[in-house]
Amino acid sequence: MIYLNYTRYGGAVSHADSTWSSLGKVNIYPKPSNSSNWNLTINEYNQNDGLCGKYALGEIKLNVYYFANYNDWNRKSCVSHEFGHALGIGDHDEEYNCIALLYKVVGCFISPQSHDKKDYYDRWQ
Amino acid sequence: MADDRLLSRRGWALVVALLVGAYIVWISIPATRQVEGSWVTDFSDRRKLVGYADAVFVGRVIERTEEVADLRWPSTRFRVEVLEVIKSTRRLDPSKLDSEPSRQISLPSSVIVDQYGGYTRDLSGKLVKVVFDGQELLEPGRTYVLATSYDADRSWYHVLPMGAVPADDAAARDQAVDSFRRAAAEQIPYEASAAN
Repeated sequence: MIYLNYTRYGGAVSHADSTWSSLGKVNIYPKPSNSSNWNLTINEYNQNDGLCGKYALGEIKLNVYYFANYNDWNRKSCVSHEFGHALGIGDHDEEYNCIALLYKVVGCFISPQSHDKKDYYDRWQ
Repeated sequence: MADDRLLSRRGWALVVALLVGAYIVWISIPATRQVEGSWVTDFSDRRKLVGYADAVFVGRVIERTEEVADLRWPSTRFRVEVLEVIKSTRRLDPSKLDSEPSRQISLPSSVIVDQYGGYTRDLSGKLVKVVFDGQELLEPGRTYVLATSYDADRSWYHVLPMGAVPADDAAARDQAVDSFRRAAAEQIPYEASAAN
């Protein structure tokens, strides 16, 4: 998965890259400057909508409305969560408990938990 | 001499017409795509939903006023008649995340409500219905309890996750209003510093 980051949150993006890369099945890296190919774009938006980020069709959007005041943990948590979606993993919204990175509410974790890892390995065998 | 063509000119015209017709029917039947966002608080806890919301009210959807057919994130706006107000506050500083401090305000008789989701077309031209966070689009003529955030720049109320509860008949409306009023009495204000 090659990503192009247009946001100012490069630290959180790098963290998300490394925490998912450590699982080993998907090669994740930023778009090299000499390449014109990528399949994930990371952008910003600004709206008081209750969402720190969202993902659809190869694009992550991070919500500056929250990121501007978020601490490092919450930024990493949100971007890592969205990277999970970009890797094809859905939310664990059937259980409103703080048990997974892909839990619906951001802020519990900044790296994949056992439930997330199972979904990842199911998807990328 | 026998005509060895597979189809006559009229036959080919019929085939093309059928294919075009089938394509038009195919692109007109919407496929559904689910899109999810990452919540900043647990909106499934109605006390947190109401605590985050700027306005919670019973509203009857009058009409759909605008559709933004974005490929990834379409959104739809509605004019909504305000029937009953459960909570209506305005943040003193809209740039501040936290729910407080705020002041009470009165809502007008109708407001514009913005909702993520709507209809768009994919690259093949096919109609796609995008459902955001599993929340079906509001329908004109129906009544809902709506939990919303106020967008001062755009002067509209945005439906929060889990923030549209159908309340069409008296029983459903009473039940929903009672639940939201109890949540309002015990609301948990949003704090940006909290993890969730």
